[in-house]
Amino acid sequence: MTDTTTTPTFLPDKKSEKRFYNSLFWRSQWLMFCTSYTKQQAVTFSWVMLPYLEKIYGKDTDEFYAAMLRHQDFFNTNVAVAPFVFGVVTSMEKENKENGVEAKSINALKSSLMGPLAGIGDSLLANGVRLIATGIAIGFFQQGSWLGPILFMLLLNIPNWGIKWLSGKYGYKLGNTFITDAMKSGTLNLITKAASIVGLMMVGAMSAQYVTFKTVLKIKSASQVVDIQKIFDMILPGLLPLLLVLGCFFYLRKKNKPVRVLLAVVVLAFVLTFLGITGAAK
Amino acid sequence: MIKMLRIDDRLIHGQVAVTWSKQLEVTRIVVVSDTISEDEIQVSALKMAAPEGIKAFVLSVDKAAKMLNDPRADKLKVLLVLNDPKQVAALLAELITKPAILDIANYGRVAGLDGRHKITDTVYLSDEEVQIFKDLAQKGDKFIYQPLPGDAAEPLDKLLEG
Amino acid sequence: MLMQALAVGLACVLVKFGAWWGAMGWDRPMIASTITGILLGKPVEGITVGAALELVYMGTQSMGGVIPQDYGLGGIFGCAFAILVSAKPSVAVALSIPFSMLGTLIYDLFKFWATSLVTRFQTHLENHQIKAFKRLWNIQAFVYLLMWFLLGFISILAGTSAIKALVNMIPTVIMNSLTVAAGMLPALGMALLMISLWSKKLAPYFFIGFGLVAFFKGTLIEVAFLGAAVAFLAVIGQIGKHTNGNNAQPKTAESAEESEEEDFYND
Repeated sequence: MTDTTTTPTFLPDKKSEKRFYNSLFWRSQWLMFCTSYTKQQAVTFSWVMLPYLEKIYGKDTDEFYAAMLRHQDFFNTNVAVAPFVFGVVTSMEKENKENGVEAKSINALKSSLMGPLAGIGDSLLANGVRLIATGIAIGFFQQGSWLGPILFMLLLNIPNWGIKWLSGKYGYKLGNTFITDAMKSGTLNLITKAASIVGLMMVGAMSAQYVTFKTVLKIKSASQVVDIQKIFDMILPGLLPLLLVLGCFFYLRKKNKPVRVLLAVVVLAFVLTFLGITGAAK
Repeated sequence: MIKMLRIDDRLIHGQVAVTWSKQLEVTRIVVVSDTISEDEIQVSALKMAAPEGIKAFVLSVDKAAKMLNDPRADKLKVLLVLNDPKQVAALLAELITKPAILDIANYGRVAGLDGRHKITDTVYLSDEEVQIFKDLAQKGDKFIYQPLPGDAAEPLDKLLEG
Repeated sequence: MLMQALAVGLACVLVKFGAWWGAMGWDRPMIASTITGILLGKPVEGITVGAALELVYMGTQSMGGVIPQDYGLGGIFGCAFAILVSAKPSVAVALSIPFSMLGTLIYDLFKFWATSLVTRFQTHLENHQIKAFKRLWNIQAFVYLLMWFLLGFISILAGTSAIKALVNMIPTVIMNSLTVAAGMLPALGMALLMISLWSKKLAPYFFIGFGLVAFFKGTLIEVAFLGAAVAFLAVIGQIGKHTNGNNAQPKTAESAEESEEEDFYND
């Protein structure tokens, strides 16, 4: 990394290409830092690009500063898929230096990629992978087992880091042709759908497993004591938790803020306990 | 019917794809832009960003107006997303049935902040654009500011005055 | 209390670092609580309390840069109070909620500051001062982490005895109510997740998942296993469909336009 020639050739061989993927992988991890209201991740986007732009345009050249300023534009995307944008942009900057691609098209591409990629990254990782990882690990957490944190970190971060590594590499290699190709095969949509299905099953399963909502109410008639919870269990195991989850869901869908639903649940818990309908009894 | 017209710099992204489309239960997301509909890469990227079960389209203003004015569109639940106030005005002028909600959520930060005034944390408008929204409001097309379904809807007129 | 305050301050730094750096998920309450537990010398308690905290915040996630509640701080302080004042998990959950709200407030303040820096970064570039640009970037990252350290350190140093007195004052019926609430609150987490996952076509999968556990006493690992197989079944019919459906190269531009129009009106 001691390239000081005035007309540097960026990534001339396989070895330096590999070094670039490595370096991009590590630098792009910082993307969230210095997020601002006005430009979100813009400052750090340019900070990540800094060494590559220095190599492409030369240190302290006017072209370098022009490129850095160009990348002060608003940017916001999901961290896991961001390397893809960095890869595409780096390959386009290199093209710009070597063959004079219009600099404007680099920014246009950036702004058109960040939204869709954020959508894909959020639904795949935040809703899909994270949920599955949580569902599998949380049981170990409850038992106080070290397997919990270890499993969760691995299940979340192997896909997370894998996507990062691959997206940076393919972003650079394929440049702007990639998106059209990926679209044509439709695979990405299918992966997202499969992740939602597993995610939804996990939510159902966790609703049954981890929502505790049962009554301690017992009705005394002349001859016997009737345990109301036993009756519910006979109708459908987990009936009350299911109703509670669906209730919260429909209440939320009526545009209620989560905090309000949270308060409603807490108030309900207090009222029911004061009335003796629910309680701490086992 | 058109459930919502949303102005968003980033077009289809997490907030739109996940939150609003579920909230409004839409079946179509239509990005309306004369410039983007010409660009194959951007069109592909946007279509890919649509959530499962929702079809996304990227159309020019004229084409979108023509397709949305078709009676067959009445039974569809559509979310429109645009990123240019001028094209918003052009589209609204052509639509027979107006969108149920007009929402400006994110605007001005991609185009550049020079010469734009801060209206909210996520909306920055130039004088010319402020005028567009004032004209629209006079014609009865009143916008609200509501980035996420859980946020309170604030009328844009009030924000422009304040 | 000084050592504990230092430990919680450090936990804040680690959690906030691992939340942003590489989006490693260290701000998930389970992990935040584990980290806090380790630093306070009671890792197993941290892990166990983490599960209770995660259940409450599971549906909360940052989306499009908006964090509705700072679940990372919730995880740290929930765990810290569970260990330092031996609060029950249900009380720890209740104590974590105000801190999760304080966290978003503090972060908003930082973000205002970061926003004011944006123009300074730009000026440095305009003046061709790359060193100043780099230095400012390092400073803001440092300030970000320092801010969280101070929050953790000061809160524990100044607040623990008050919290302890408060926890000891709670009457039994309120304690029971909190326990009931802690059991019910995961329902909100689940509902929040459903908001982003639910669609009419996919709804049955929720009930399949629920039934596998409620009726057949399946474990979550078993459900994940079956879920993967079911998802594959559901998707397999569509592999290849996309290729000839939407994206086949059109024969003529006109017919492509027509088919797009048809596609718009038909399901």
